[in-house]
Amino acid sequence: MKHTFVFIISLFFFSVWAFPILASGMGEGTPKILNLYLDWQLPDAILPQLAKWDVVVLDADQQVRNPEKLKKLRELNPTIKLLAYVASEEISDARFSEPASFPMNILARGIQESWYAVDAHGKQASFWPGTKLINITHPGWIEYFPQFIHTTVISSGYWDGVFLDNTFDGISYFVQSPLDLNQDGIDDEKKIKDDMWRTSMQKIIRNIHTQNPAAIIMGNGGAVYASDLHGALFEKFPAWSWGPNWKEFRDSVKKNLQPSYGTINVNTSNEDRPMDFARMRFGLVSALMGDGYYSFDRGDYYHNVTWWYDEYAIVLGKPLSAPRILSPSIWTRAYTHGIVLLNSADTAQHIPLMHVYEKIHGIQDTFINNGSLVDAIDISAHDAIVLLGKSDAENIHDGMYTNGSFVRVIDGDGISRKNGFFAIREDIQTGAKILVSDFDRDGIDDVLTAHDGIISIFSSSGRKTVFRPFGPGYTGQLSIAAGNIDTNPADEIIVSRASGAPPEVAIFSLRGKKRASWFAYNKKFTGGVTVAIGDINTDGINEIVTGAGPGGGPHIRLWSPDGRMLPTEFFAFDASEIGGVSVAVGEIDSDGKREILVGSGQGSIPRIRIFSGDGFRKREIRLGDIPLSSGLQVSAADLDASGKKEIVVTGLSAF
Amino acid sequence: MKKNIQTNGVTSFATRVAFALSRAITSHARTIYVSRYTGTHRYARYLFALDAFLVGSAVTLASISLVLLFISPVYVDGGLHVKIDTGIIRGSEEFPMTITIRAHDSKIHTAVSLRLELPEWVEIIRTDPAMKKDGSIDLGTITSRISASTNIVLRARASRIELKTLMHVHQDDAIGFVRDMSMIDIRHVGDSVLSVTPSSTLFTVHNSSLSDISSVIFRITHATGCVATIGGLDSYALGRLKGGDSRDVFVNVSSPCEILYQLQDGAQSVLEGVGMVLATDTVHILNRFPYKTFPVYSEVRYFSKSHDQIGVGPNPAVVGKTSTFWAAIIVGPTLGVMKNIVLNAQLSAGVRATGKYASNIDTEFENKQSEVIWKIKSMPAIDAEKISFAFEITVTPNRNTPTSTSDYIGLGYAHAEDEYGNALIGK
Repeated sequence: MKHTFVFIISLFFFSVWAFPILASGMGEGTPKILNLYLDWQLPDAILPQLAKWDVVVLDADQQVRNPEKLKKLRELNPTIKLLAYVASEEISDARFSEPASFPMNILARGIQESWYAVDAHGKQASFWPGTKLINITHPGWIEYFPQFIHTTVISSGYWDGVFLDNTFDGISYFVQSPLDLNQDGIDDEKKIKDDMWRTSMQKIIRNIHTQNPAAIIMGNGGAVYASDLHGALFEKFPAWSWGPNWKEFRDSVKKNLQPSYGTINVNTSNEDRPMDFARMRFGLVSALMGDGYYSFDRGDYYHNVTWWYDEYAIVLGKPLSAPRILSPSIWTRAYTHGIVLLNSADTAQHIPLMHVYEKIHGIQDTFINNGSLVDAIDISAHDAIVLLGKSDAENIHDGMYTNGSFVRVIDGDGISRKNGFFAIREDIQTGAKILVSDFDRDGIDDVLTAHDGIISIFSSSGRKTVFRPFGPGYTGQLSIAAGNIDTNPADEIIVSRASGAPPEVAIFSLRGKKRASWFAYNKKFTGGVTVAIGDINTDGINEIVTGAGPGGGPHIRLWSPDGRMLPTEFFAFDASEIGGVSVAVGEIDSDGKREILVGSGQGSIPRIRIFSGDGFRKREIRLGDIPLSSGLQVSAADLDASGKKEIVVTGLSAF
Repeated sequence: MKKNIQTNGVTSFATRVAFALSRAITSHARTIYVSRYTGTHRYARYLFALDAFLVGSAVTLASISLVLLFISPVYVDGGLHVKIDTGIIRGSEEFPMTITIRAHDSKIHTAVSLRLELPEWVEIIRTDPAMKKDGSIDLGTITSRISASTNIVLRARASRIELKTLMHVHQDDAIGFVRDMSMIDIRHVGDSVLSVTPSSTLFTVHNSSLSDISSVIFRITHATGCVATIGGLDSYALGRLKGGDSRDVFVNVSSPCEILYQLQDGAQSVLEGVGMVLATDTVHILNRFPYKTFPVYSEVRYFSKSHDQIGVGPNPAVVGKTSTFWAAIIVGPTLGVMKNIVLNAQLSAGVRATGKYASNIDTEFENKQSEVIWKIKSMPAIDAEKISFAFEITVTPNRNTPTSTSDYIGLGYAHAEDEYGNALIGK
């Protein structure tokens, strides 16, 4: 009853902390996170939230209570790891009352009376209220428990592994009462007890591993079994001083069976304090620097929350170096897309930075994560911070932009999660259109520029191709896109005249050889056309999207690569807006399908509209109230290597 | 012996007139005293005096409250007083708004921040403290002894309507409880500072305020009995009109006729009028440019127009530290093609260009440390917008460095040619 009440209250208050999106894992380069969710109830509403974690530990009984929900979690997040929670040294009284089909009831009924841990007078010992301590040194238990894990838990097929709670390195610290483990009628001395306990626990863990070589085996209780486990939970981190405890964790992760799932767990001492952001950050950065997983929850009485934080979704990328110390209390680690810093001192510290970084554009702790650019940072005592690298032109991949333009980056919800910036490449003239992508699929990015009617392709191999797609007579603006239209893995270049010319669409190879061309509208229309490419209908073949240029209405058409007009066509804005439109294609949200992005044209209020592949308008993003003479140029690019594209907008001036 | 009291004469008459009202009031009071107090109360005189004092006090307090309400509205909510002061607000003109918040209870109000929701035709020019990216202004801790103020400069682009400001105040109290309060302030906006004076061939647009207006548009809404355009278009964007400045708009008519016009500040219409155009100034129309100049000005920003942070370091810059800003020379709008454009900006003491520059048209940029030069071969007509030629600067203040961000750079010179080769001066 108490659990139910607590759960209802928790769900009510903390549902606001969940992202309103279905999750499919948080992407490579995001912090690795683990959720200990031991509540027996698993409502449907909680599944999308739990699916955002990389590893979820659930009570083993869930394989019978809610097997379909375990499957649902895997559907929502195909890369999720589910671990079955089983206490390694005790049995709860409640387990004996469960239905006989429940794994933990099966375990309970199989325990022999002589396996319980008692003192010399036969008095039952206990570590946790409502449980009976088991004498894990008994040969019967050493054989029975691993066999149970194999036949009842792992073999069910629902789990990737098992989480063994309370894998203590000794028993005397945790159970103060006398124990007669060797059952000789005499209470054992402390050292003897601990040695026996440790040896037996190691045997149990190894037996489980032997019987389940592919399973993940995690423990809870420090580093002593590091080389026999795939990781341990360091609960209530730091258990003592941060430095030594963190070092122990880091060393433990290195010794673990790989891949390691070693986890730092920080909690709010069983109090409802999800807004203790400093505590959360301190633990998160400790885990990041230790190459471990992170768990932040309410406490050892309440492993049943889905507190989500801005930092969890940040793509930091791969670590560039080992953690290093900047000053006696400041630690830092650099990643491909940012850095983390931690202050272990009892006082705030001011830290000058070598480069300019960008704070997270958070929605929770907006005092710290306010999106500002910084070249120095102040960190409070026992706090930490995650900083992102400042965006520049080098970050824009697979999306076209104009060199020297002011770029704004917006996500699919219309929110600006990075500061706008001037996209400048000093090796290319200002005003040129630039598209950076691995066109030839050799694993290294190539650069394409378009200027004065000329296309130049600079391959990573050193080859340079220059051609005029529309002949020497055309020196105006070009619209460009790149994508594959045949069985050859290399991309082709799709190009059109963006304005002041007939609406011809042409496709060229990377060598500048014309492959196809057609007119998107009547040849007499001289407003030009803009182009984009992408597999919009997920049939494995790219479609070409065209948008009418100035003078025509904001009309959108879809084409097959050979120039056949497809059935989908629509007006992106009111037909009276004749300033032309710009188009792009990209997966902006998390529905697994690419969207068509359309930017408003000359003389219109600056807006971006997002359409599904069949022309259904999903969203409008408004970027101002005054008509923009030049119109917007939109593209879709992945600036943070998250695998999901952001909307890159130019045409809005910084001044 | 009965005295012979003089009751005639001017003095006597004047006295009676001057004190007529007070005599009427005291006479009424005496009537009340006699009828209701004497004979019914033991200490009638003292009781009457007390009652009169209480009534008088209540009237006085009510009067003061009414006066304060109309002079300076005071909003009370969540333990905080919010007081707003503005000057007279005229359309298209910059005006200051000072918002002062203090506590009227004994609590400590922490993390107080303010966020304004303004109509779309009101522009925030600057705030002190600086506005954050999310549009909020941090005011810190407020108690009954510590108040906080924010000074905001706004511009209302309309005229003769009400300015309705919705303010949100966020605070944490001493135990960490978060409150959000909203309140509305309504002000009257008077006539725009923009005016139009028609003459026989042109319309002179004048900005009578002290500050610049960034986006002025003259639009022909109707022509009676003729075809009237401005270089073939029905509107002309004057762009930025400096404080106190005037600019002429030449209208091309097929025959003498009356036109109706509208003057806009951005998207907002601020005045409408009628004028008679007798002839077309063919010299200016044929040359495309109504005059021999093109609009150009300089600007320095730490935040972009869209509130993105583009500067780094202390803002404002402080002695002993280096801050980065982005500066720009901004050109436009222009009615025709310009060629061979040269733009020069001078950098103040303590200000240096880093060498980073940005423009979305083909340009050459020369960094001479204390000045920068842009050279642009050709620039198309930019009807209603502007083109900015931006460059990054560092500011390490010394005693000669201007205190105002906008003075970190100044326009040196700007010249170009129109498509016919005529010389143009940027101003």
